[in-house]
Amino acid sequence: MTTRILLVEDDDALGAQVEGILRGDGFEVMWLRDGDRASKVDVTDFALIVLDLMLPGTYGLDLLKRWRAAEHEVPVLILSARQDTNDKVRALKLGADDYVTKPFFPDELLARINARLRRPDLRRGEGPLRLGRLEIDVEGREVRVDGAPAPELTKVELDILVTLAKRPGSALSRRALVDACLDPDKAGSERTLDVHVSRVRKKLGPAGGQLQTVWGIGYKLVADAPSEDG
Amino acid sequence: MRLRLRLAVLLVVAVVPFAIGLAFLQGLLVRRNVALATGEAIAGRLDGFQHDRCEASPSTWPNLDGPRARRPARARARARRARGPAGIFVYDASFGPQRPEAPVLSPRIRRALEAGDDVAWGPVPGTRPRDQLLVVARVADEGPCAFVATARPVDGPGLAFTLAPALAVSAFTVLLAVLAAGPLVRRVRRLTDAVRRARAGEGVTIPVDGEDELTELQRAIAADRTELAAKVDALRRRDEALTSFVSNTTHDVMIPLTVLQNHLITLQSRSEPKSAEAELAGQALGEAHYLGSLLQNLSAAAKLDDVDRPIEHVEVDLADLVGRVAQRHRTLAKQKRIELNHASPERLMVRADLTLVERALSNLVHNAIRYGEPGGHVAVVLEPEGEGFRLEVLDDGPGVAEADLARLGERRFRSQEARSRHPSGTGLGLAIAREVAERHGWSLAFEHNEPSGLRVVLEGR
Repeated sequence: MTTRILLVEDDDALGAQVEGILRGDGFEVMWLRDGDRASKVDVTDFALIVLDLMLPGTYGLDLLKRWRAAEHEVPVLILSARQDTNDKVRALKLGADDYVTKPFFPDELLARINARLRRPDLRRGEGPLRLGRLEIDVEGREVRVDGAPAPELTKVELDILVTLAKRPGSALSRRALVDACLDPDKAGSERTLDVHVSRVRKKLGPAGGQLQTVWGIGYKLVADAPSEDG
Repeated sequence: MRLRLRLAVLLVVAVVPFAIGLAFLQGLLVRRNVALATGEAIAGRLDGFQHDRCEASPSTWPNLDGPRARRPARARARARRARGPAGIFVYDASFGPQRPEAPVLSPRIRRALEAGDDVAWGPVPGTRPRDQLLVVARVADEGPCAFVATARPVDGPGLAFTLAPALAVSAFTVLLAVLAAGPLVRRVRRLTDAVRRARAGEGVTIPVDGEDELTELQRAIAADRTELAAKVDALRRRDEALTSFVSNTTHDVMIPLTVLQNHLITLQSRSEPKSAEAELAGQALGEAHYLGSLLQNLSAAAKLDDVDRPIEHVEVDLADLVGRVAQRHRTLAKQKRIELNHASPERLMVRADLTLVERALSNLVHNAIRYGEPGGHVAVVLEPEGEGFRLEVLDDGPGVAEADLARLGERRFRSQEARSRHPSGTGLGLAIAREVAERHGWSLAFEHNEPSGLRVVLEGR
C-alpha cells in the first residue's frame, strides 16, 4: 500500500518538482495550490503533510493551527523560505513536526520525510540488530557474523561494538567512545581506543569492513561493506 | 537646589558688606553733624564778653561765671549725661590745657586745628569712641583762651541698631530671590527631565511656558527635537522598507533557486557520468547553492545589524541542527567528491536563535566544502562540554596562512576591504558566524588542523 502525502504549495514550478520528487520515491501525492482548498481536505487520509507557509487564501500557519485544534496528529513538514522572521519557530510551537528551508535538495527533503515516517517503528526495535553480515544482540551482548558466533570479544571490545550498534550508520566521535567504553581509571586514551577497534575488526573477520573509520570523527557501524569487498 | 544655593551665597556676599559699609558711613555722618552743631553752639555762646572773662581767668572759666540756671536746660541735661571730664575746657593757642583735668588733645585733632579748621573732633580719651565725642572749637587765634572743648554724647542709634535694618533687608532680599528662583528652577528641572526622557525614546513633548529667555531655550530644544524625531522616523521607515525588501526578495528568490537546483540535479543525473555536461551541471549546482547562501547571509546580516531587535532565544536541538546542516551540504560535497561526515549526541538542547545558528553553522560547513579539494574530508563534531557544548568543523583542505588565521571572521563585512580581499564573499559568511557566536555569548576560534586544513571551534552553553 502506498503512503499518501498532502502537498500544499502555491508555486507551480516548485510544486511540480516536489510532487515529482515524492512520486519518484514511491509516495502517492495530492497537490493543492491554495490554503482555502487545503482547509477543506480531510487530512486524516494522509500519512504526512508538506506545507508551504506563504500561501494565497489561508496562510500556512493558520492551516496548521486549524488542524492541530481539530486534534489531527498527522505529521506536518514545513517548507520555509523566510530568514528574518522566525516562521519556523512559530510553526514548531504550533505543532509542526519538522521543517525544510528553501532552497533544498531533493535528498534533504526525502531524508526529512522518511525520518519522520519511519521513526516510530525503527528506533525501539526489539531483538537482535541485523546489519549487513552482522547480527548484534544489544541486550544479550551476542555477536554473530554470517549467522555464526564471532570469536569472543573482550568486555571493552563488546562495549565499543554495542555502543556503535545502538546508532547504526551514525558516526561516533573518539571522545564519545572513550567516555562510554574505556575505564577512566586505566588512562583510557583515544589511541587505546584505536587499538581496541582494530582488534574488533580482526575478530569480526569478513564483517570487519562494516566498522568504518570516519575521518576527523571516529567510527561508525554500517550495513554495506566497503568497496574493497565488492 | 544648587542654583538657589549659589544665588543665596552670591547675594549674601554682595549685600552684607554693602550694608555694613552703609552703616559705617551713617555713623561717620552722624558724628560729623554732632561735632559741627556743637562747634557752632560754642562759638555762638562765646561772645566778646564771655571771651574776655575767659581770657581773664582761663583756669576757672566758665564755672565761676554766674548761676548755672542761666544755661539752657537741655545743655545741662546733656552735660549730665556726658561721661568723662565734665563741662567745658579751655586751651591756649598751643593746645595747653588751662585745667589739669582737661583731656589731652589727640594729634589728629591738633593737626586739624593747625591746618585751620574751626572745629575738630575725636574720641574722648578713656571712653568708648562711639558713645562720646570730644569737640574742639576755635574761639580766638591766640591768647590763653584760643580753643574751647566739650565732650558731647553721640545722639542717634548705635552701630548694631544701624546695621539691623540693613541686615534685615539683606536677609529679606536673599529669601525673596531664592523664592523667586523657585519656579525658574522647577522649569529648568522639567525641561531637563523632558529632554532626558525624550532621549530615552519616550514620546515626550518639551514643555514651553512663560515668556522669557528660558522659554526661548525651551522653544529651541522643542524645535530641535521635532526635527530630530522626524529624521529618525524617516530613517527608521526607510530601514524597515529596506529590511522588508531584502527579506521579501530573499524569499522570492529561494523558490526559483530551489527549482533551479533540482533541475540541475536532474540534468546531471541524465548526463553521462563524468562527462563534461555532468561536470558543468555540478559546477552550476555549486554556484546556485552559493547564491542562495549569499542571499540568506544578507538577510542574516540585516537581522544582526538591527541591534535594537533582541535575538529571539528558543530551545534548539543542536544535534538535530548539525544533522540537518550536514544533510543539506551532502549533495554539494558529493559534487566536489568531498566526504562529509558528522557526529552528535542524540539530543543537545541550547537556547538560541534557530535561524541565525543554522546560518552560522551552514556558513562554517559551506566554507569547509568550498575550499576543500576533491578526495578531501569535512567533519562536523558536536559534543557536550560541561554544561554546554563544543562544536568542531574540520577539513583537510589547504587551510589558511598563519597571518590570516587571527583575522578570519573579523567584522569587516561592512567595510570596502572585505569585498576586495574576498571577492568570493566568504568573508561575509565567517563574519556572520562570528557575529552570531558573539550575540549568543559563545566563542568561535579558528585553528590549524594537523597535518593540514582548518579547524573551527564553536563553544558555548
